[in-house]
Order: sequence, then structure tokens, then C-alpha cells
Amino acid sequence: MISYVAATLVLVAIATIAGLALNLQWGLGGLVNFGLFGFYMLGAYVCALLDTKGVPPLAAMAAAIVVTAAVSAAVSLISVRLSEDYLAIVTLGFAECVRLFISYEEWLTRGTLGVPGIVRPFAGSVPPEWSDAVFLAFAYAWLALVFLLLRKITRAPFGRLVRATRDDATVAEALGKNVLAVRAKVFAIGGALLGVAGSLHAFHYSYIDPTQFSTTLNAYAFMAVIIGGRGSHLGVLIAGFTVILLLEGSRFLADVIPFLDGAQLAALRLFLVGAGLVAILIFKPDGLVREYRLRSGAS
Amino acid sequence: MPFPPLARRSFLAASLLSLAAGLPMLAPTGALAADETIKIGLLAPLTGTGGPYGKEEEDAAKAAVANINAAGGVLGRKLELFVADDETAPTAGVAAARKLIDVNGVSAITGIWSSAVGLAVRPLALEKGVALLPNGSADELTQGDTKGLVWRFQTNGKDWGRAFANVALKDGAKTASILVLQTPFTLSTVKPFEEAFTAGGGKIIDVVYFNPNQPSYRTEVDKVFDKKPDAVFVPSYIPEFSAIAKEVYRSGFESKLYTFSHAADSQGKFVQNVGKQVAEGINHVQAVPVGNSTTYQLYLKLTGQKPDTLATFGANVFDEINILALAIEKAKSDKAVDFTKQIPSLVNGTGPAISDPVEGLKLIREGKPFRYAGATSNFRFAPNGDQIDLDYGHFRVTDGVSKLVGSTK
Repeated sequence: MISYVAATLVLVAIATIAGLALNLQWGLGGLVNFGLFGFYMLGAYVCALLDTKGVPPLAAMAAAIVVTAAVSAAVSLISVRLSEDYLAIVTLGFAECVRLFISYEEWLTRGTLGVPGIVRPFAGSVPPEWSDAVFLAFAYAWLALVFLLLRKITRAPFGRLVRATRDDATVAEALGKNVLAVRAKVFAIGGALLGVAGSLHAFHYSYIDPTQFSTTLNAYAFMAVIIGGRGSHLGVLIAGFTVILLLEGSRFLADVIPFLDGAQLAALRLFLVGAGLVAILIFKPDGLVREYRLRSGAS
Repeated sequence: MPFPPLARRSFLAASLLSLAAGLPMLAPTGALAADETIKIGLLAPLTGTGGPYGKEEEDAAKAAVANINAAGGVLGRKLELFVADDETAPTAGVAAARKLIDVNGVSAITGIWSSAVGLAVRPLALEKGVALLPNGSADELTQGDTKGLVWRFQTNGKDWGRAFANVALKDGAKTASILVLQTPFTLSTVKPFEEAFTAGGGKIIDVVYFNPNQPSYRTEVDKVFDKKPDAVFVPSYIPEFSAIAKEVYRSGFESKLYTFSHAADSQGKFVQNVGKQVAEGINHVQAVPVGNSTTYQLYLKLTGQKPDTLATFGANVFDEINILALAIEKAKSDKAVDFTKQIPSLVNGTGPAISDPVEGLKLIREGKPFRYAGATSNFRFAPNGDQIDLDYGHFRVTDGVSKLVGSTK
């Protein structure tokens, strides 16, 4: 039981980090990233492939973060001349390309067979029975770090600038700000965070294959941001917990409702999760927590 | 305070909500610790791509458990089945498997249909010392160190590819193409098919890959069938194969189609999907004796299906539960590390073949030898956990009904 709860909490941390990354890109920066799962997948694969080739797990993770950040910045630059809606299409297209590349380039990625035997950080130095607990702590350390980092960014002058480019890019540009550079930076930081989430995913499952990464990941991240309240990191943090606990908690329906068979319950479960999310949006249309605003007098 | 008062209220509401969602997680432990059933998990594809096969598996597992419990259970205890949905997705599958293992306390997981889910759950099962009895065919499932915990109740991809090549050659095909779905299992049948077909004097024209859930298979179908190969092998499942068969029929191509019985029959679902005309003449192959095994007839009877139904994954699960029950009784232990050691001897042994596990349980208690003849086929186990020694039946759909037209090794 305890290890089940620990594993579920790790999933919460991973999904929340992905949600926070999206919140930076879309919530604060107004950049719609429908290709989220592609960057996440890239992070997971870079980390997993290096890790299984014998690179120390933490170094592999660092490489994954750097690669996803660089690729994210590059992708945001491709769409320089495209208006914002098209960024969504470009990023989605990019993510599909990543998925197809990984599915077909077997010499590098083992294709649909996936990458087994991914070693977790500190695997050699902690006893096996502590491995889940140590990994849980590792994941939450990252979650805390990401949360604090984003809070810092949001409240810094850079955060103001990011919000300004979201609300009216022309005004920001007229004031002499380099909007493109701001957007590339936002995308790169978001990408780096997705690299973190992807690496944690690879470590958590210790086996990855292309079918683990799909637009469902986008859906979870967007759900977290929309429910949490666009722009509010605290909101996304709470919503990340809500979404994953709803998804996981509903698995137990099968044990408490014996008169429905598994096939009916499985369909009902996904339906209930959807209904729960709709209900949250009806009662909290702007999300759970409002975006941080600098008020006069506040430091 | 940086947050307006409303935020705190929302925070409380959200915390309560997440707590409420999480609460049921804590509930079952106490209740389950006290009883003394033997717990078995079924991780079935109730939704997602494998959805068409999920219910079949669940019905089979419930029927097998009921059959054994009605005769007094195993080691004097009842079997208790826990069903979880893997959504045909590895991530959901691992989460569901964790729930089965850590919360429900199962000692074996049966029914895993997708090889991708099986490969993702495998490290977890090995770590926790839980037996894994999958239906997936990807060769990798039984490769490497399985600690003797993984026993596959399905043909591996290698044998299956070879059987298809033999069947196509027997039908007089000189040229063949492969139109293959991108999954670990279906891909693992490609090379063996190519090798056996070429060795038999045939020529492979094309190997074309496609992805699941494509809106259309037009491009792939045209590419393969335009070159008019004699035979086209389509390793896939019922949703994709239905779409492809329709596309082939619409375009008027005449190459013969070959696929698995679970794609082109599956309790008659395929013909229902596409209609008799499209299904006419389609060939499918499956390990036999699905048709005349008494275990298979028992399975159909207990699940209330008609005697000539072809339901392969249900039959797989039926075998898995029966073998588990026999192995647990024989090992006198419900611990996976103990009872998995008994699995090969149950099917490889000498003695009279039995088809009803209840009979087997009785013989074990009397200390008499026997071997279990499976519902899916009269299989034996190799030491690595693969089924071997199978005969494959070659079926052809004629006027909406699958008929056995031949068999091969």
C-alpha cells in the first residue's frame, strides 16, 4: 500500500512539473504548446538512452534538460513569422515528428520495443527497499525547485516582461523590448522543465516506449493549468494533485462497486473523471487560484 | 500576503477535493488483510485499442475462477479475482498493476494483452516477485532474466511469423508483401515471416509499416497492393484490420489477405464490423486445437458462448487461471516464487491429459500424474517461459463464417 501511494505521488510530481512548464509557456507567456508531449518524450529518451549506455543517471538527466531546452528554443524560432495560433500547430507537428522518429529509428531508439533497464539516480548507493522512498524524495525535490524557480521568475522583472508580451506584444515591442528573445527564453525554460519531467518519467518506469507518450500528456498538463488557473503556479500545483488523484483514486471504484463489471466500470471511470473536471470548471471557471499580480506597496 | 482571500478558500476546496479523491486508496487495506482468499489479478485492456478483447478476457477469468471455487477452491481457500483496466497504455497499465500488487495484494497478474504494457509491467512484477502470465507475443517478454516468473500464454512472434509463411506458401503464393502495425508484437512476426517465406522459394516485395489510430490507411494499402503480390500478411488487430480490409475491398485489389484469428474473427466481431462481402476469402491463422479441444469447449460452455465461436484471448486467460490454480495447489504455496516453479511440469508432464482443472486439482491431492491440455492449444512450455510445440490452424472466412482449411507447424 505504502509503495503504491509513493508511486502515485511520484506520478503527481511528474505531471505537476509538466503542468508548471506549460503554465510558464502558455499561462504566463501566452505561447500555446500543443507539442508538450514531444518535448517530454525527447527528455525521457535522451535521459534513458544515455543512462542505459552507462552515463551516470544524474548526468544523463542534465543532458536531457539541456537538449530539450535547446530544441525548445529552436522550435520557437521556427515559428517566428507565424502568429500565435500557428505556434500550436507547429509544436504539435514537431511532437508528432519526434514520436515518429523515435518509433522508426530503431538503430538509435530500439523503436517500438522501447528502452528497458533504465537505472535510477542513487540506485547503487541506497538499499533496494529504500529505492522508492529515495526516488519519491528526489522527485519532490525537483518539484519544489521548479516551483520556487518559477515563482522567482514570475515575480522578477522578467516575469512582468513575459506577461506584457502575452497581453500585448506590440506595446512591449514599442517600449523597446525584444519580444522574440523573451519568447525564445520562455520556451527554452519551459523545455528544460519538460526535460526534468521526462527524465523523471524514464527513471520512474525504468522502461519507456513510444506508446507511453501521446497527446494524453498534453491533456493532463492543460487540465492542470486550466483547473489551477492560468498563470498561477500555486493553482497548477493544487490542480496537478487533483487531476492525478482523481485519475488514480477512481481505479478503486472497481473494489467498491461490485455490481458493474470491469468493462462497464472502465468506461464509467473515464467518464466520471471527465465529469469531475467539467464540474470544477463550472464552479471555478477561472481556475482555483488567481494569477499573481504585483500590487502597489508590495515588495 | 500575495494571494487574495478567495485564493485561500479555493485552496481549501481543492485540498479537500484531492483528499476525497485520494481517500478510497486507504480504505481497502484493512478489509483485505483479514480474509484468506488467494488473490489473482487480471490486467485487461478494457478500454483503448485492446478494448474489443477486454470483456472477453474478463468473462473468461470470472468463469475460470467460479469453476474452481465451486469445486472448493485451491488449498482449501477460495480464489479471489481483481480486475483492473490497463487502458491498453503502458503508463496506465503500470499504475493499475501497482494497484493490483500493492493494494489488492495479488500474487499473479494474468491477461496482459498488449506487449507494450507487458514490457512496462515486467520490471515491476520482477521487483515485487509477482508472477506474470501475459497474452502478449513480443519475444522480449520472456528474454533475459525473468526469475522464472514470466510464463507466456500465447505464441511468440517468431513461431507465428513462420506459421503464416507456411500457410501462404501452401496456398501457392510466390510473392508476398507485409503490411505491419507498429507494435512490439506485430513487428516481431515480420522477420520470421520473411525468412521462412524466402526459404520456401517465395519472394518478398514490400514491407510497409503503419501506425495505430490512423484516420485512413489508403496510402499504405495502395502502396502494397498496387504491386499485386499473391499474398499480403497484415499483422494487426481488429480495429486496424477492419479498416484495411474495407479499403482493400473498395479498391478492388485481389491479393489474398492473411492475419491473426484475433483480428479476422474474434467472436465473429470482424464480420460484424465489415460485412460478409468484405470478409469473404480472408485467411487467418491461430494455434489450434481451438476448435476441438475439450478445455476450449469447457471454456465456451462456462462463458455461455456458442460452440463454434473463436475467442482466442479469452481462451488464453482461461488457461492462465487454470494453470495458476493447479500450480498453487501443487506447490502448496500461494507465493509466486514457489508456484511458478510448478508451471512447466503441469503441461510438460506425462500422464493422462485432463481438460477440467477441477479434475487436475483432485489428481494433485491424490498424488497422481497428469498433464493439462490447454484451451488455446495443446501447448508445452520451454524453460524460458515460451509456449512451444504448437499446431497452427489455417482458417478462411466463407460466407461470414470461419472454416478450418488446413494446419501447419
